[in-house]
Order: sequence, then structure tokens, then C-alpha cells
Amino acid sequence: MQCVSNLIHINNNTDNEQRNNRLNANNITHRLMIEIRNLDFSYKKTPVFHNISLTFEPGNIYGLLGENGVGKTTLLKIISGLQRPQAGFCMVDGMASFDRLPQFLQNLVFLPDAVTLPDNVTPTSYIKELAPFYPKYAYGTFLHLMQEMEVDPERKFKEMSYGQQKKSLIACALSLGTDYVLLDEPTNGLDIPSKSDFRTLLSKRMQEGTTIIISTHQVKDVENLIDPIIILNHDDVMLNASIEAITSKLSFNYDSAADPEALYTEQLPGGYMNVCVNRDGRESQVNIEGLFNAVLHNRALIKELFF
Amino acid sequence: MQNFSLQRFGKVLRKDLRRLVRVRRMLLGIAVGMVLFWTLDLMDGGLDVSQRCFNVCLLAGISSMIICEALCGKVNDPQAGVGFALLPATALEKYLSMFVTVVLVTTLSAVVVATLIDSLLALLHVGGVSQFLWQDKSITSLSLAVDGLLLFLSSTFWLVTTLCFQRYRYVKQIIIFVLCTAVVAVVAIGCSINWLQIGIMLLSIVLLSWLGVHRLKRMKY
Repeated sequence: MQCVSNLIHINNNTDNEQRNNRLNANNITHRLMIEIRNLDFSYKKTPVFHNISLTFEPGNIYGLLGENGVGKTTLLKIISGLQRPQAGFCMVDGMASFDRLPQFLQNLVFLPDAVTLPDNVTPTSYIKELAPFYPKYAYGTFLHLMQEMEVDPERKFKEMSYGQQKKSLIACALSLGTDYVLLDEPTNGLDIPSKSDFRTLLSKRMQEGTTIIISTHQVKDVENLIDPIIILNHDDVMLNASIEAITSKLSFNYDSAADPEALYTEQLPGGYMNVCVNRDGRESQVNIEGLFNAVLHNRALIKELFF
Repeated sequence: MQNFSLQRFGKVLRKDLRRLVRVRRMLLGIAVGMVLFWTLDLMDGGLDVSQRCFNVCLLAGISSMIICEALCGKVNDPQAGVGFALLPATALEKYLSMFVTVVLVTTLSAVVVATLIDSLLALLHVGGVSQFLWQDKSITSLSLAVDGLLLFLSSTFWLVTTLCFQRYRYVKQIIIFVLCTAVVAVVAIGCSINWLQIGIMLLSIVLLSWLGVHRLKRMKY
């Protein structure tokens, strides 16, 4: 048994050397990060991504936005190793995601929008089955999160409402202690108090250095949470910037009249919300829906401003 | 053998065995079905030893197919299979765990239960049967080994094809199973049991397993 384990150790070292050589050839570091370079992806004959490059740094909550069908969920699947790009690569902590190595998987959790749950299982027994595979899992954290979400961990999933199931799964995902948390439409099905609890829980996780990527259409649910913001197009990254960078280059103003020079204007009760180029360094709070529409209608200008 | 960990394999196996326990109602249903089938078959007019052995193998094979579907049927489903794919273990560890659970544990357990049912019915002299299977001199170690390997081979085939096919899975599995059985039957006409056949069956199990591991590694969701 010792000889076999030594052999496996030697093989692992050889594999690690080969991986290091490959990484060094591509100037990729082992820092805790997600690195996507020159990514091409398509489903059979339907192209999704063409030559996109992104980097996700630790300790941030990224908002991944885009129109229907641009590939937000696909990008999360590529990062979590569920899909393989046709060209380019996606590396997480220096490991190719599609290899789905255990060292990679135990540091990442992906919560899809729709989850198929085993019938006669409670959240407690569900997480206890997964716990041995995640070294940083903490049962106390799980119980605390379930309490915060106000869901009974001993109640079977099939006896819960959709929103309660969703909250349970979010609690399970966050309690695994992974460095990367990928959430696809996490606030779908949550009631208003739960959305607030969700934001609080995620803010606490961010302080622990976790990288969180949220793909969502419900931007108002995560408006004060996500920073940086990534807006995808069908074959391009239209925007990849921090809130600070966005507010230094764009201003979000609430006026009584529409600004003719605005990138985007939206009529509201009592006035207008104008998204303009910030020429005079005005401070304003980002309106993510306004930002999204401004980016969508002014792609060339946004590219010029931010890239 | 890259990155294989016995400890991690043990964790995956424990998880899969717990899932096997969770489908105990299904297992009970299969056992009840076995009892009914056997009783009716025996009462229909006595069975000889080879027919009884065939029944044991048939029911064990059907049991492993049903359990394979229950435990592994959703592994390559784009939605339901995500949890399996993201479990922190290698493809080899996951496949070996499924192999142990479905091919070895389920099949062997079904053989034991079927043999016990046959023995109970023999004890009760149902259908005029009075001799236990293992008392019959025509059952040799070699014939047991071949029957056992055939069972394992068919279970492995069912497991691997469950992993490989998604759309119209049952149709494809049955067609390929019937074709393979027909080919083997034609090739093996007049052949007596020998160690070469056993070697070929073992090799087939290994090759199918290699295919299963390769499929798990490349599976997309």
C-alpha cells in the first residue's frame, strides 16, 4: 500500500511539473483566481462566446449580467467544469476547470437556477453526505445559515416550498467553505425578507476572501452587493468594471427633464433618470438597470470609455 | 491512476451505499416480485436445476438493471447530473463506486436473495421441488464462475450504457444488448466452458469499465 501511495505521489508530482510548465508557458500564476483567456464556445452550430477574456480576483462579488441567451449560465458552467470550451482556456487556481480535479472541485460550489433534489432527504442529511468531500465545511455555519434563512434543517425538501428549498440550498452552498461560489439566479423564488438575508450573508462571505459570481436578471436584488459588474454580449464582454470605475466615467442623475446628451434615459414618476458620461467628476449612485441599458445602446462608446 | 485516493473512494462508496439503502422500498418490491415470480413458475410445473439457475441469474440481472437505473440513471442528465459531476472525486473513484454498488453489491445480494427464495420454496416442496440448488452435482465451480461473470458482465454493460446514452436510452441499450447476445450466441455455438471464455469476459468487463471512466471524464452538462 505504501509503494502504491508513493507511486501515486510521484505520478502526481510529475503531473504537477507538467502543469506548471504549461502554466508558465502561458504566463499564468497560481494565485487564487479564475482566469479565462481567448475563450470560444458554441453549442453545436450556435456560437455563444468568441475570443473572450476575463479574470476574477479573490474577495469580490461579481455581477454577471446580460440579455437572455448571451451565455451567462454557460460561462458559469465553463468555470465550474461542466462544459469545455472549443478554444482558449479557463483556469481556476492554475487548474483547467474541465479536468474536474478533486482539488479544484472541493474549492468551488455551483448552485444552478434549477436544482434536482433527492426526495426523501432533509437539508441536514443532504449536507452531511457532501461534507466529507469539503475540508472547510463547518456544521455550525450550516446551522447558523439555516437559522438566518428561517428554514428547519430537519424538514424534508419535498415538504418545502420552492423558496424554502432555494434558501436551504444557498445555506448548504455557503457552509461548504469553498473559495469560489457560483450562483445562477439565486434570488429567484425568494421573498423580500429572504432577499435581504441573502445580501447580508453574502456580504459576510465576501469579507472572508471568497470569490462570488452571481448571474442574475434581478439586478435590484443585488444592486448594493455586486462589485465589479460584468455585462456580456453574444460574442464580447461589453463591460467589466468596478463600481468605482463606473461612477468615475458615468453619472446617474435624476432630473425633471430628459437629458438630450444622455446615453440612456428612463422616465420615472416625477422625472427622469439619465445615464450620462461623467465629464465633471460628479458623484452618483449606480443604477444597474440604467447602466445595463446604457451599455446595450452605446457599445462602441462604452468600449472606448472602459477598455 | 492519476490522483486516485483510497480515502476519497471510500467516501464516495459510503455515499452510494447510503443511496442504495434509501431505495429500500424499491428493493423490497423487487424481492416481493421475485417471490411471486418464482412461486408461480414453480407451481406451473416443476423446474429442473438449470431452469432454476437461469431464474436466479435472470432475476439478479433484472434487479441490477432496476437499481442501476434508480442510482445512476440521472448521472448524465444536464440538470440532475450536475451534483454528481461536481462531487470532489475523480471519474475513476466515482465509476468504481458505482461498479461496486451496482455490479457487485446489488448483483450478489440479488443472487443470495433469489437463492434463499428458491431454497425456501424447496423446503416447502412447492412445485415438487425438494432439492436445494447447491446440492446438485451438475453445478460446478467453473459453471458458477461463468454464470457469475456473465451476470457481472451484463450489469457492467447496463451501467456503462446508462452513462453513455441519454436520449432514447432504453431502446439503444436493449438493441445493443440483443445484438451482443446474438453475436456471442453464434460465436459460442458448440463451445464448452473454458478458461479462455472466462478471460474474455473479464477483459470485456475491464474494457467496458475503461469506457465508463472515459465517458465520465468527458461528460458535459
